[in-house]
Amino acid sequence: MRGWSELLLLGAVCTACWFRTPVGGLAHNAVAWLRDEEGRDLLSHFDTRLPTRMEETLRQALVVAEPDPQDLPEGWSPALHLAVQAHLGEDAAKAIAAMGMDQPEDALETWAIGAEQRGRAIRRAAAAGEPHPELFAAHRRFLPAEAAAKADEAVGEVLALSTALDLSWPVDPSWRVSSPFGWREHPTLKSRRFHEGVDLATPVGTRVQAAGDGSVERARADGVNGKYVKLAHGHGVTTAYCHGDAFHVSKGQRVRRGEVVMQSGNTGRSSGPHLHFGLRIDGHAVDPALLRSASGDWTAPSTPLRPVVAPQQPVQPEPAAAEAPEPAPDGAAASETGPATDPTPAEPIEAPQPTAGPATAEPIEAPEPAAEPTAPEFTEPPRAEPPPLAVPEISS
Amino acid sequence: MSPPRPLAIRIVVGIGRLLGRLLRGSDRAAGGLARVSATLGQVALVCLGVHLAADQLDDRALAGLTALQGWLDTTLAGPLGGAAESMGMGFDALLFWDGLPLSTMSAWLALVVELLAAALLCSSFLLTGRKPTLSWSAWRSALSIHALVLPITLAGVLLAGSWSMAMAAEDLMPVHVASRWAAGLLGLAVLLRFGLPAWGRAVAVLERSGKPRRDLLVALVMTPVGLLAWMHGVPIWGWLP
Repeated sequence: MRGWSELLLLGAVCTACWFRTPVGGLAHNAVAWLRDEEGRDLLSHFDTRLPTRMEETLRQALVVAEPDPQDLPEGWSPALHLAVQAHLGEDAAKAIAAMGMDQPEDALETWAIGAEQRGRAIRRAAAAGEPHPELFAAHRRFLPAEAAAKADEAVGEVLALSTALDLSWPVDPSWRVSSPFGWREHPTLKSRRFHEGVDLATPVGTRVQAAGDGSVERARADGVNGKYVKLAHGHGVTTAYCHGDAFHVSKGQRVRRGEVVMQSGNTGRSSGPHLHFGLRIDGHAVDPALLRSASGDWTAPSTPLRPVVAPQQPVQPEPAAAEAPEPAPDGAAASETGPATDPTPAEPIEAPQPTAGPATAEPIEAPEPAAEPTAPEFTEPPRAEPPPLAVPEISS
Repeated sequence: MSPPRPLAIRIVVGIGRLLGRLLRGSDRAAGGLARVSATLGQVALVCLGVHLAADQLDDRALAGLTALQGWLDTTLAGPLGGAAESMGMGFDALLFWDGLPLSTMSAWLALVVELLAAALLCSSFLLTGRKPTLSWSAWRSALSIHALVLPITLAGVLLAGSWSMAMAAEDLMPVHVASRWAAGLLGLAVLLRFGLPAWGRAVAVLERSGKPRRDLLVALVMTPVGLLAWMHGVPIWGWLP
């Protein structure tokens, strides 16, 4: 039976190599090329490239039935509950909810490593002079490495997922997806690139809303992304809005979900008017189309259109940002009440200078100076015949 | 004279004999592929081991790049930003490292190192005769950077490959202590059947190359892979006190 056992061993090793290594990926791609099929991303074998687990969990979370808010502990959002259920399982969700702890971080950490280990770390942090030792960030370094890793997974990843689940679509969902997330033939570079977001066929001037509460990490222009805004929503979740025509926010400003951050345009490396919308969790690009099915609560922005003025007219950043009230429970409320951080929406804000800085949302080539900002014409999105939401159209 | 056996028993015995012959014949045929299967298995095992190390290299490269970016932020961002502003540009116009896709860069670095290391290690035994003889004196006479780095790296990579194979098998089995043992045995079998011969083939033909620069370059690729393979692919560290 030696011959058969050798073949069996060979089959096992080759199968593992085929599915688990880039060399196997190369062989797979060669076969796919011969069959005229799509190949595998070699970088996906390194977990820093594509967050397959995170994305899968996000997908799972979207098909879980939303809980009744009355069944949740105080301070727990449905998105958080969904994230716990999808990431840690239903039993964990029940166990964590049964703890009755108001602070999600505390409950998740306690579930992951136990109250005893958490208590010990808090005591050590207090002894070391930490002013708020009960906070996870403060006592994390006093946990044993294994416990810290476990807690990171439970606290960090769940909170990141729940933050992502809370995001909404940045424009009217009836605008079609002209280029989906994933590998594609780049429309201007004419080469095969990984598209780390979705392109939405919005005309110049369409108002783009913040997908969630957060702060403006970047609002600037470069030759690749054109005018773009990057928002940080907390827990490592960021969204990017590229190829804009005019800014409505400036760097460092706090924004509420539904607040208009920019007007879409055709700046940067772009073959036509569109909005590039990108989502990253912990630095990894995730398909934002996942949020589209969950964004049924989208409402048109109520923020009045503000003209972007020349850079010579400086405007101070809004000081009320730090005292922004608690986020509205849903996008509708945020839109109806308007941005709380911006009590004078008619006030123009400063347009950032075009820079030649490196891009983040798309691969970089030699940057070109972005066009001078011009006063855009606002176009109301059509509402008559929205396309089906589940299957985005593919085009370059 | 024994009485004739009933027809049913004769049919069963006949089928059994037929199956036995089929199995023996097919086993001999499979054995005829031994040379090809051994070489393929060795290559696959090296690829598995190298990837385990490269995955760790990716994490470390990302940590290094992030630290470098942080260092640039604290030391250079101020002066460069100020200079840019004094020239009428935006603060971050000269901050070339701002927004670089670090995770993609580290993954590319790891991928390139992985493919290079896999090619070097596979070529070390693929280009040899089938059964060269291991000899201590021959190795000592070939002693060089390459003769030192290759056996250590290849040993770590092959062990890591077997470990990776065992983990892959365990992933497919139900969660049970028996699965762990079965996966461990499979890893051991793979190591003995493919790993040991590959190592023997590579080490037995080592020669003094006389090209220390090339040896150094090869060692630069192999050493991190070997080190990480030993650190993360050889499951002995958890047992040590």
